[in-house]
Amino acid sequence: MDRIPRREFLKRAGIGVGALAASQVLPLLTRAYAQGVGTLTYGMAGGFDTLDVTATTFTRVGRIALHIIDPLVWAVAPGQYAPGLATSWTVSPDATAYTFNLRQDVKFHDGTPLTAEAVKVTFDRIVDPNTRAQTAFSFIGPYDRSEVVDRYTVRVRFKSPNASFLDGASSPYLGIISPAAVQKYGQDFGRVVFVGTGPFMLQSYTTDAEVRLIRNPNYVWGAPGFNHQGRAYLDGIVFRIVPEDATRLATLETGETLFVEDVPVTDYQRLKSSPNKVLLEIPQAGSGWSLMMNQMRSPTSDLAVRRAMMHAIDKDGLAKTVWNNVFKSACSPLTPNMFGFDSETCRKIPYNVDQARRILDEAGWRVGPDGIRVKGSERLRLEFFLQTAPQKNIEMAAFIQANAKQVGIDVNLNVSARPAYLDAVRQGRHNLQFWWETGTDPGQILRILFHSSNAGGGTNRNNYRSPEMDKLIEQIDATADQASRKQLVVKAQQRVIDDAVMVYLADPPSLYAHDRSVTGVWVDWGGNYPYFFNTRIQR
Amino acid sequence: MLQFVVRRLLFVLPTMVAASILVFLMLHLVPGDPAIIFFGDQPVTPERLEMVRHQMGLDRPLVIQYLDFVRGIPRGDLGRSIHNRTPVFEELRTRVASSATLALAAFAVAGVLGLGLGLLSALRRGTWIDAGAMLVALAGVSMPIFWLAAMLIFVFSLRLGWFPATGFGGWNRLVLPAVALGFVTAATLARLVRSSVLEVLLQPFVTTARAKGLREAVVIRRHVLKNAFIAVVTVLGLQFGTLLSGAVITETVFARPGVGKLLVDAISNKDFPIVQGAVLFIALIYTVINLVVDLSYAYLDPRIRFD
Repeated sequence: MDRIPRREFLKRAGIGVGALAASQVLPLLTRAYAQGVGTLTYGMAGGFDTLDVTATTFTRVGRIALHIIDPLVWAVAPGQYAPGLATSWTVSPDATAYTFNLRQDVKFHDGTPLTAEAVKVTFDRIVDPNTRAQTAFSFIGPYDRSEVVDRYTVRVRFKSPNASFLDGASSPYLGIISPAAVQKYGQDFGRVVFVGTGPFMLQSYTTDAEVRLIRNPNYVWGAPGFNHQGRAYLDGIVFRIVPEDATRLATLETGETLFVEDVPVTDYQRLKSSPNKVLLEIPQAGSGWSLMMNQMRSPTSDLAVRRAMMHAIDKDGLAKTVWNNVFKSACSPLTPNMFGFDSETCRKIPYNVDQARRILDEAGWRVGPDGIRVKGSERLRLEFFLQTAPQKNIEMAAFIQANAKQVGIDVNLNVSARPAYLDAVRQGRHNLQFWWETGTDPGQILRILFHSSNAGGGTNRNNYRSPEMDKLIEQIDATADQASRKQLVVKAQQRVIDDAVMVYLADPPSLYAHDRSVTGVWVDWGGNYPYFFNTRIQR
Repeated sequence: MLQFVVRRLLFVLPTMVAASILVFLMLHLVPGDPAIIFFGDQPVTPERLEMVRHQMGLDRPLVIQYLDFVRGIPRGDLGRSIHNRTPVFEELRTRVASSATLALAAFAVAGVLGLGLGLLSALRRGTWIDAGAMLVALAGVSMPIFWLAAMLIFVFSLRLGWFPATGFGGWNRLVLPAVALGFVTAATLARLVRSSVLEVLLQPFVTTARAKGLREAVVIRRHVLKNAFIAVVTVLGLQFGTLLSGAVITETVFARPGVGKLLVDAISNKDFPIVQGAVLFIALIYTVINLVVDLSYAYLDPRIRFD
């Protein structure tokens, strides 16, 4: 037998020991991170400002908070509500006063009881300037005050009619929080603690990383609409912040997460046909992707230009090219699942390049030597302001730019970072800008987009001012009768199409995906809030 | 030596003041009203906007705003975020630990890989080992970090299942981000180490050492490396600062909280106190690293004295 030199022997022995160690250690590493049964890890698409649901502006916070608080009522379908913390309620005929009778067996996570006073403190806090509430502030509308009628009865009064208040009260943002905890923690409420009455309690919050919830062991007040009323089935939920789409999807594949939000449209087909995953596709309620056209700035101040834009954009093509047909082409400022959606709107503005050209010709916009139209000394050039993210914005804008060019409109893209973008559009330096709005009450959506009080730097960046439209929106807010309200909503949609206020581009679905082992996920009809009270993980 | 350290530490203060003034002024020159950014696309009346502007302290003269910030520093009070009102110190504290862990791990990867490759290719100059090592280094400097990160996730998380795809929590969550971040630095380092070592190898004292009959390993360790390291240490120091504060892409892809991401978010929100706090922290880190690098020169080259 040949002798092996010492150095060679040590080298070979080293390789052997290394390989042996690797063969023993690597299998231990493999899937060592798979989560324990009973805890659901949720892949969240980004961070947020604060956990304080009263102050936040993030839908994501609503998704987390819905597990920590309970709403007064649950929205079960457009315009239909079921008991939550309130067992029953009455609305005054003029929709300025709502009286809620509360459950008497509810305790906050800090052990204090839920009373009418807690509702008053929660709502008063929303309008307190120091809270700087945003989403909640919109939802509470023209709030005046809350009156404690007795220990378990509260009356909420409004300065003007607010027929949509139940919609607001069903959102997590108006969820009832513990007055004792607010008092005790002050500015730290929402940062280190967040105390409600919900089926899960906040265990820890690591900024930009994760929020851990554990089951509330004392929870016996589940809403009657759910299939059980006792404690949640899950031991806990971990909301892990994974901003990168590909990484978030990878965590679902590896089992690091069992549920993810914001599934990119590029992964839609793959997940839909996956044997191990379930794709949840819920049409989003509110207003889809649309184009606001600033009426305070030429040339979009010209009705003909706005009407031409409505006909010039190939929405089906846009839905196919940019959104892989996962999004559907839009017709109205309201998505089709909204209360009062008018399907007639889909017939009113067909994609028709010839018609767009004709409208511009009739209005005196003549085609110039470079194919771009001119009128007198004015060139038909629209300044389109958009943000750098998401990338889909830029793809949509490029598509619109190409469509507009076909009819002789030059669209100039101004892609900027958020501060510069907001500066420009709030000051009205834009002709065009994108909008997208989520919400479940048509009155609220129409107010945001079209009420003159939101023009001039607010959310109505169409700068559309119409006394008739303002009156319609106010009537919608003041009309509690569902049939009459519906008629008003339909009329409002027709009105803004006649006035060519915006171009309605694409209606998105909310896309979530989860492992097949996860069952019993409830998502609100508006598609925004997956709720894991009934959820189990089947192993 | 002590005098030198004290003198350098005294320099820290004006450096920090200069950095903070510069950042403060630049932030105010960039367009964008923090109150408007705060409301974003939410409905807001002019009165509410004005109120929030007042709460954020933006209606006060610039000098007062700056002095208020400076006044709190000796007490360790860096103010609160004007957006979510979290104490800046807290915001930094929660991220520094995560960033420092990642930076140290990436630094280790970069050190081992960069020095190893650089040294190997210099000592085997002109061979296929040299070519191979430099090819790896070239790939490292040319590879976009987000691509490398995505590939690491694809291979080691999705295909092999060895490591988690997201990098926050246990040590196994640190491996992929550290490799992604460290590899790019390693590539730069390898090229530098190679050229430095090659330069030193040609020096007469190396020939002398060999002529004295010293073993090659001793020649390399004691005479070549020590001399080649003066340039390398300077770069290493600066790289550590970059790893600590500039790992935004790695942090985003691997879903890790970090100082870099905090700073980028704060800049786009124009959250002055956070930006100032983070910049002060980063400036402090760079100052300390520079000091350590300077001190290491004395060890590496005994001719350098700080008296």
